[in-house]
Amino acid sequence: MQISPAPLLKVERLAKNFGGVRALNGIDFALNEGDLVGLIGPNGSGKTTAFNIVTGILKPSEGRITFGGADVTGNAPETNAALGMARTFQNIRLFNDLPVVDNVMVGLHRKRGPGFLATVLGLRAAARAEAEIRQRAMAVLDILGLSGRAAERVGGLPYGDQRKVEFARALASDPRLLLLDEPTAGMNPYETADLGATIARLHRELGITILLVEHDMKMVMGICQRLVVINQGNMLAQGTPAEIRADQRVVEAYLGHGRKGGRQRGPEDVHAVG
Amino acid sequence: MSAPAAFLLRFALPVGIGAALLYAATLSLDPYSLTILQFVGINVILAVSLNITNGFTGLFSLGHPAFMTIGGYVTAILTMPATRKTAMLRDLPSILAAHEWPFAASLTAGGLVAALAAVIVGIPVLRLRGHYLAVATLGLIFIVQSFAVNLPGITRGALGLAGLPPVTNVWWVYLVLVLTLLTCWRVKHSSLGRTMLAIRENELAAASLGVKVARTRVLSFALGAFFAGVAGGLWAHLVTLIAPGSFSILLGFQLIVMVVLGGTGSIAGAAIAAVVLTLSTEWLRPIEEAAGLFGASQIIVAVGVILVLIFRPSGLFGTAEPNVFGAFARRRRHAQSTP
Repeated sequence: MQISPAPLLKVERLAKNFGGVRALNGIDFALNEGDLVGLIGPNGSGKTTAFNIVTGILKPSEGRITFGGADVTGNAPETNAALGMARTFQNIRLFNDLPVVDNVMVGLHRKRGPGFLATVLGLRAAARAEAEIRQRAMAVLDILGLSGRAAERVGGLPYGDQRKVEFARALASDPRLLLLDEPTAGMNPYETADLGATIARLHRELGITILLVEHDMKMVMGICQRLVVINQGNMLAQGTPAEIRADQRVVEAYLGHGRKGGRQRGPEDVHAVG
Repeated sequence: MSAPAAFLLRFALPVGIGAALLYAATLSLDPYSLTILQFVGINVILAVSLNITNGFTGLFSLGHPAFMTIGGYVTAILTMPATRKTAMLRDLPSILAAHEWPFAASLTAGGLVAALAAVIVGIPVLRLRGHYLAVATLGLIFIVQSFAVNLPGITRGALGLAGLPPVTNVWWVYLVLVLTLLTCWRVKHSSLGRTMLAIRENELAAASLGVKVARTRVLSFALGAFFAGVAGGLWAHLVTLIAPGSFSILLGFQLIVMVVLGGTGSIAGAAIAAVVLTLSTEWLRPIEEAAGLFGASQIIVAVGVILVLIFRPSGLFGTAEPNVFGAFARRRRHAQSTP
């Protein structure tokens, strides 16, 4: 076994109380550079809460998060974004009134955007920066096959394409870690499969580290290298898709106790059960 | 089309035509009409600058009258002849009292002090979400007014500063108007302006993309306040008077109406709405007097606002600009791509 390098993202004993409700109760996991890890669990298990704490939208009650060796616990979202985290949202959050390409360009302002004075004085440097931003945004849209719709108002795009624009927006900033919050929410099986393939392709081609919160077992099992399972705010299991598939506790968490003598069921069945 | 050619066509040409028309106006119009023309220009400056705050960034500020008052007083105090200053404004620091500033420098100073006030108010208030800013800027109008009333050694209190040098003319207004439009246009069509629109559309997503939400809001608030301050200075030297009550909440409301009617985020929309509303209130006044229906024009405007909000909630233009050249270029590109 090779000695693994310091993980890119490390979450330790993460806990969150909402008033008297303990939504998370000691979650631990870590991502190495280049990983594609799925964070899964039944409805209400605390996946999105954990995700929002990592990205900085919620503050943790307890625990520690390190990213790239630095402590990022309780950072603001913009600080984490500056450190190299990029995310998508479960309920799509695009800038609806802006064209597709402008949505992607917003993500490039932090790194490449000209300052206020350069903008107002109309300096050549500002125009050049603007052209670079547009070029980069178009290149990312091209990767996702959306360059033909660059000038369309994003609010008018079909749902699946809106998801992809969110991807493009997150990818444009060259993130060190891409966090995807239930990207297949509200999609039909065909769109889900298509998006799963897109995620796998981005991971393979761009070598980008991805943490994927997901509900759809089939998709996650197919593309992730490692899975972290949480249930009712507690860690349930961690391992490769094959290990998780065989884990009886995971099956129980999803489906309850199997009937005696019934056929062996795996987590994939969740998909069929709905 | 090369960049300098585009600049010439889009900027220098319209500005030149505007200047030529203005020159013709100064030759042919009577002084009353010229004064109205200047008020139109000042209102366009105000509406377009308020549109940075309310339209681009989606904040709801009512604070323009406050910033106009600040800018108006600062400009008025600076341009006043030194002899009058020492006689009338006894608490003024001697460094300000001894000198008489040129108009351009005074206007700039007025704008900068107004922007500074916006930063001071904005830093605590803009961290909050929702309509806190509307309430806070409403309060600011009254705070600024009571400062003006209660600092008689600097502002002459409720008397106000009368008999200011009448230095505002159509050319000053036109210069500031062009600079305002140019600045707003550049900000809107830049990476910075895009982050402002992003904050308006979805604050959380913008923050997650690394947009510095609080800082960008303060910037857009202060930028709007700067032009309001300059416009206040122009106004004061047009009517040659500034008093604590010169710019009231009513004016703030009229400016909001211009932005809402024109389209939140549209520079051209706000400008057109400002022109139409200023002229129509002026033209309706004799009719009101003849019919004995005072205030009828305000009722008409208010009904108009309600109708726009029902049938076109994003205003006449929304965020878009009616882009004549863009449409032309698109058609040409289209013609080239389909031989």
